[in-house]
Amino acid sequence: MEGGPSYDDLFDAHARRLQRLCRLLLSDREEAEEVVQEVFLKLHKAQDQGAAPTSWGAWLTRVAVNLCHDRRRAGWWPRWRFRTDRIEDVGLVAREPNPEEAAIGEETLRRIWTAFRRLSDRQREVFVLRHLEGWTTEEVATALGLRTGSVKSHLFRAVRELRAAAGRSFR
Amino acid sequence: MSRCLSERTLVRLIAGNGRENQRAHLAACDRCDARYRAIGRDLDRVTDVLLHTEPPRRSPSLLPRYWVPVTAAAVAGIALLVWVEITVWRAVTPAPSEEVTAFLSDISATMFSARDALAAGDDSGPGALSDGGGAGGCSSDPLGILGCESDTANEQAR
Ligand SMILES: [Zn+2]
Repeated sequence: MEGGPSYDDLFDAHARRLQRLCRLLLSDREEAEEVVQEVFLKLHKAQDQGAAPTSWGAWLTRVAVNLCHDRRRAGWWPRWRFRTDRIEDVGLVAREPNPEEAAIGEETLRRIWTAFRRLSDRQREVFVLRHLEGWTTEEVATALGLRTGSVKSHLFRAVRELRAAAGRSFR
Repeated sequence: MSRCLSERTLVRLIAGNGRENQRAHLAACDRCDARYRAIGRDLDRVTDVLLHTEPPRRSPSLLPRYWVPVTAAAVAGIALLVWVEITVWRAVTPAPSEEVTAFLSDISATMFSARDALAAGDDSGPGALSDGGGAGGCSSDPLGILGCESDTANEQAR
């Protein structure tokens, strides 16, 4: 690639982040790994075809989020069948919790995770892109093919639920 | 200054919604600004948890995975049958009216009285009707079904 980042550079810079992102959206480590593989397959094809987006990071994120969305819409049965008898959720980030996390307490962690999992697909996607990836509302709307008003509405519901889950324990 | 903002409005503003006058209030009111920042700190904690902690493990299913949908389908089927029985079947099958009930009890009473009468006739002697050379006739026909001609015929035959 003349002038642009190489495939390997992009993989090193984004694979781990995308893995975490997909795990948040899919709640399934193995499926997240599959999606990330698919994302980098698409990257390979896109680079072969000479694509040159303004930001490869944003491009990768957009592809990953849309693939996760497609997976979730593929039907409840295949997802459910593969998930029900598997103990999942090994750590997202393998490290010791920091003092603040330790202070939060197991019950609060559980409540936040439960609230997060109960969000709709769209609410989860919007929240992750806006608050974890730091995208603007307009960027989120473009990536997900939604109107900005719709993004704000999804975000409002997500924030309300998550804030309620987190807020109770800190008051 | 306008009234202080509700919690809902503050969340709305965080999500990028809200009206211009609400934003103006937020900029001017220390109290609302402090509440707004508190919500922001809660959300920072949420993102921190999502980014840096392990999701709680899910309990493995106690039932084999195929039994859950099968059981659910069976329960739903039974519920449907019960519903059909309660609503549809009873709707198309009229309940017996008082007239019908009275008619049925009349029939029943008549049948029982007839049976009692027959039973009384039998007491006059077994085989009274079938005994060709015996004492048949009106005495063995309490309901008058056979008539009394047989007596006359018997007389003439003698
Ligand atoms: Zn105020």
